[in-house]
Amino acid sequence: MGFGASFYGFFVAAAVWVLVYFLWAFKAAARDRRRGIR
Amino acid sequence: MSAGEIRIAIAAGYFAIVFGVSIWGYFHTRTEEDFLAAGRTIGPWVGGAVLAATQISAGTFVGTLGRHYLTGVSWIWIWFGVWTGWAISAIFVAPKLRRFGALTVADYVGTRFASERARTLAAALIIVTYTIYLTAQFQAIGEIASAIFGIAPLVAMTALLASTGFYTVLGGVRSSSYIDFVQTLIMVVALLLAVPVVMSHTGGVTALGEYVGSIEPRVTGWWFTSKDLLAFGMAFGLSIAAAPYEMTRYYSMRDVATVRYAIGISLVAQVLIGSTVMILGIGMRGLFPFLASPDQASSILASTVMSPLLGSLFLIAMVSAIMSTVNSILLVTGGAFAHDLYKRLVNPDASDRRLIWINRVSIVVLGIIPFWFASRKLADVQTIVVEQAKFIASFFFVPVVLGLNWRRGTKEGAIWSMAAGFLGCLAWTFTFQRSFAAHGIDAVEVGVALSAVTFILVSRATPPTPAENLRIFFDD
Repeated sequence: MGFGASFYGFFVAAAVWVLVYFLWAFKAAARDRRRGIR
Repeated sequence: MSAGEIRIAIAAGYFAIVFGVSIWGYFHTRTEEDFLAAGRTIGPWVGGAVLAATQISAGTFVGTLGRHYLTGVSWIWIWFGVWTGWAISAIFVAPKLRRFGALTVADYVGTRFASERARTLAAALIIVTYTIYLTAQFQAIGEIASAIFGIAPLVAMTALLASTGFYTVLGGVRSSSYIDFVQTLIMVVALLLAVPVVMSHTGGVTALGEYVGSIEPRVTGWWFTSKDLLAFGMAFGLSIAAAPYEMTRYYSMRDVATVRYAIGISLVAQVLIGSTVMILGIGMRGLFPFLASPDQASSILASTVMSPLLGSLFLIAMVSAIMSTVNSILLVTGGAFAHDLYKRLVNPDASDRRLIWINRVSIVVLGIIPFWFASRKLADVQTIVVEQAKFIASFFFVPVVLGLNWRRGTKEGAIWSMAAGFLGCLAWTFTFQRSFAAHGIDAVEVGVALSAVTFILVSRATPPTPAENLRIFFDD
């Protein structure tokens, strides 16, 4: 019995996590720029 | 070149970079703000590497790799607890702290709650807890040095403090940040290079999975239940959301957007480090199924499995992980002593020059104290790392996360919540924690819950914080 969902699923979930984080960070930076916050 | 000469050449190159950057940092450090916040000049790439290097410690290379060796894949999922902590920090903590732009975490406590007593308590608790954390790092270098080179632990610990203390004392946060950047690069590159080496010995990922799965099926599946993983993940997440050694580094970054991007870049480094450590741990299980201790896996990997060149790079990566964490802890404890205790309680009129030197002296003194604890080996490395993280979260998560987002929090609430969180975690650790397997409630959850209830109840019963202090942290 080899690697399964616990192994391969981690890489998919981690990639999604990082992607969502950066989308939020760029959006938050754009919102701050509009409001003139540094 | 012989294996010994290769090791010496790589170590010499590494320390030449470290010492070169620290001397450069020394000549660019004029004020206390330079020493403790790098003049607010750190960008997202260096900042991200700093946050990753600070978090990745001896615990990761020795303890976590050993944990994967023993239990297999499923431990990797606790990283989502860690990353939830980072998300909480990025959304609710980092922007307000960076806009505040102070020098230490206790600065935040003192200003937000308008209380010197709260500041002093925060600084004292940070010094105590981080002194224990330093013990784990010293113990780890002692164990690695004696296992691989046969060097006495005390000699290795002295060398670690001398080298790390040197660059911390000389250039403060400025040189430390650029050295952290180099150290993160070394850690990521060494781990990435180690994976194909181990896989070439195991016959690839699929063959490794089938082999270790045949020894113990839970190694390739779920050793831990979802309840276990949630409890461990929550403990790590709560501690990272309000970790003083990470929060002080936010102050050194250019602006709020830089802090957010830096956290994202550190997440990428953590994904790379966490997943490679997992693969290497399981790979070592496939190659050496019956090691006496899981903690030996990383040392044997570097000294036996890898070539002298890659093995030396891996050892330098392990040393980097320890040095970067020791460095960050020393900066926080030195700053807490010099900026929050000495300047506030002893000499309020101290000049910048004097404060820098008090910082330097306190870094050396607070670096020597853990030697005694490390020589007594009170617990294994991973246990000490986890325990200190629980205590930090128990007394600091609520005053930081709730304090920054709930205006009604008061100085009395902050003081009593820190005391209740610390004592609650301590009491649970020595009593009900022993039957954790039965109830699944960890000391950190008890500490944070107690701290939160105390903060809310006491704050509601005491006068609000003055408006001029709240205005710094709340827009409306």
